[in-house]
Amino acid sequence: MTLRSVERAAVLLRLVAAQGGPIGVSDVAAALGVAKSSAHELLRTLQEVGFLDQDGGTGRYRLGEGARRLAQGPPDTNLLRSLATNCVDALAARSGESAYMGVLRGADVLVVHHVFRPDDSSQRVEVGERHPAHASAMGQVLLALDPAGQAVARTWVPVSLTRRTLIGAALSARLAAVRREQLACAVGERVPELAEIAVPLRGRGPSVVAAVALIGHSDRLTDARGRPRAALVAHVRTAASAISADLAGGL
Amino acid sequence: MSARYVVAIDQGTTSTRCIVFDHFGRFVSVAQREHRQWFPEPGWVEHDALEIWANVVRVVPAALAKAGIGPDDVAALGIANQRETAVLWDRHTGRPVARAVTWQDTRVAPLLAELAQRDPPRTFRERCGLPLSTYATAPRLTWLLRSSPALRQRAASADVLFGTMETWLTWQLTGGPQGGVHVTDVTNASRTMLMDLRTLDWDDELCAAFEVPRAMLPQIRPTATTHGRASTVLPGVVIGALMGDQQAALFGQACYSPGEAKCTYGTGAFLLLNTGDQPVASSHGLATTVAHQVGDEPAAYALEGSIAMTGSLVQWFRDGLSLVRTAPEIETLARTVNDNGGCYIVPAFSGLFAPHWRPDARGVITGLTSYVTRGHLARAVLEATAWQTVDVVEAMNADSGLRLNTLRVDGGMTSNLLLMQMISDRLDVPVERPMVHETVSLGVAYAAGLTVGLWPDLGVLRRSWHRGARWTPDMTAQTREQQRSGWRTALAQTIGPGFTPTAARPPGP
Ligand SMILES: Nc1ncnc2c1ncn2[C@@H]1O[C@H](COP(=O)(O)OP(=O)(O)O)[C@@H](O)[C@H]1O
Repeated sequence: MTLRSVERAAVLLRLVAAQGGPIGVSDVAAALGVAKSSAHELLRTLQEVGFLDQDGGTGRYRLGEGARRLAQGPPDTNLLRSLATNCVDALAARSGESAYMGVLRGADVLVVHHVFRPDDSSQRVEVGERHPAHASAMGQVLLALDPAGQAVARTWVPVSLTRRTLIGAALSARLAAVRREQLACAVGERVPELAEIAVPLRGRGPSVVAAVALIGHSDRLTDARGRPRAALVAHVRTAASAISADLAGGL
Repeated sequence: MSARYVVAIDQGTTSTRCIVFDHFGRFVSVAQREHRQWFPEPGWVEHDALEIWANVVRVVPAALAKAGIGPDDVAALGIANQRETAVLWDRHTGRPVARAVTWQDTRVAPLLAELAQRDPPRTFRERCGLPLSTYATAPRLTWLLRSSPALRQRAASADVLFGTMETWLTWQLTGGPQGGVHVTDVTNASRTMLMDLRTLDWDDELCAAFEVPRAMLPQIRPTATTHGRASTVLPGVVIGALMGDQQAALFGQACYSPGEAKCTYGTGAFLLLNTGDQPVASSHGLATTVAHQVGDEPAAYALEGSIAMTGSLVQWFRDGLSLVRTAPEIETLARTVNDNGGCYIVPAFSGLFAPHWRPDARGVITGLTSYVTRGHLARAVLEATAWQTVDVVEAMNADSGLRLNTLRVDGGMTSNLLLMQMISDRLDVPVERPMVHETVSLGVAYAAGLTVGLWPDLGVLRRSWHRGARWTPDMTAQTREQQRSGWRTALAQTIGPGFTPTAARPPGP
């Protein structure tokens, strides 16, 4: 992308914002002084990243959710928890393990929701705690898929917490796998005896806003070969799609 | 046994829900429909009982379909309901004679002074456990029957029947005009003002005082028993439990022993304390109700305190003051500061309820200085819910001689973790929330499952209750006392000079 097209994109967004209502391709071409085909390409690109929405009926464009969100910052974490609460409860109840939800804050995962393992053992609410992102499954999901996380992953140098913490090329390879599979499983990478299985949560639109995870003893969460148990993965994925639907409705 | 599911109907104020639970008491599926609220005159709130019945006919098959099961897989059905709402219907046609008059309807307010003279109010109260108020069902029946002599005559000859929602739905489910069963349970009957809490039967003198012919009343039965078999919607399935919604929540929270209590935090809050097999009379403005009765066992009783404004104060903060965009964001705002900055809010928007009962009180905000920010106000809003809980719990402790040692909570506000910690700090007892949010439906499902033997006893149900989260007190006694006196000072100001709040302190060492 040239500097010129960045400038054009900015002008175009201002134009659409100032317009009040939807705007058509010819109007955009005329206002920017470019050919209709270039205007069209510009509009399409901005639509793909969520900054514009296209009206299905008329084909005209208006500001998208992504543009409106820019100034608002990340979604409120207490709102996230409220919206997700029924589904996260169900995840803990069905899986028999502690369920968590987290968002990225700098190079850490901030725990925004935690439901106890349903065995009535003594546990405490861990909301508000931070896990180093690279060593946690929720963190790996967010580093791989959250746009802010990808920026973090490129710049900072993680440290080892356990014998199994991944850093350097091994971490990059893990993040690539997470991007492919939309799933992270970290065994003993943050705390030696704990395994974590996490998947991304999306609100409206394609961007990842949080992660949901099961965290528990690795004997229970993984099989003999150290792989996450299929039934638990299925529970987390089912919960994630239900939570994402609730987030889309409420954010 | 092949039938392994229990179906719960939660007939609530705004909607009717059907929830399917499996034989571990785990949530399987839900279907829900809202019904119309009718406001024909200021202060009147009505529901169309036929619309609600039609909603039941739709949501039950929908929930079964989502669960992928059929009526043959259902071991029992339980019905929990909005309490105190009155339906009158023609037993021959099955049609209501008017729209149902709901518990929120205040049309009987002008009648109360006259009714109070019929009997010294203490006697009403000692027998039925409730203060004379617009909530109870009996004054509504007085009003309805006075509105038409013809109706009174047809009620006296049992051509017109009375029921609260569970009674109406059970009658429809078991055949309606063709042999429908006309029953209610002890928990619902205990909210009418017509039942004697000790005999668990309609009281002739109370019926006479409220001009209600006994012929129109349903038979009072235990909560968990075989009330009948459905002939439609779930043909052949046993209706195993009927229960008022707040008592169902107490049951779903597994509060089966004296001293165990739950509080449901929604728009308002309802705190119920199990007091065991004897009714406890309140000298602090609480209601005495039946908690449950399982089969032939003795009934368990409860003290009940309701708080008018909890979630609704948060709504006012959001909509009236526009200080937050959504209710949960009040927690974010409150966490921007460390304390209330000296500010207290008493939400006596339409008077003070339990345990003070001062209809003339008005809301106040105290301690305003230029130091106070919207963050402090957000804290004061949440603390108001915590302090109102403390006032009700202290009244309960004083009345019952019991000492609450854990509070179980449910309802929409329990996702606010700061609030849960505030409640634990101010009550100085642990607060626990269950893993299953749907405590009303779960409670009536538990009771229905007991009736058909899906679960052997309360011990099994107690063990299937699981904690989703727990908060423990983390506040010094000195801070607690200091804040309590701030709250009390603010309370006194809702009434004007000379008022000292009447809330009791716990019986104590
Ligand atoms: N996170 C929260 N913090 C504070 N109040 C909340 C929160 N979430 C919901 N509420 C309040 O709880 C109420 C909704 O709870 P709910 O149990 O659904 O109530 P009801 O059953 O009475 O409609 C609303 O009044 C809302 O303002």
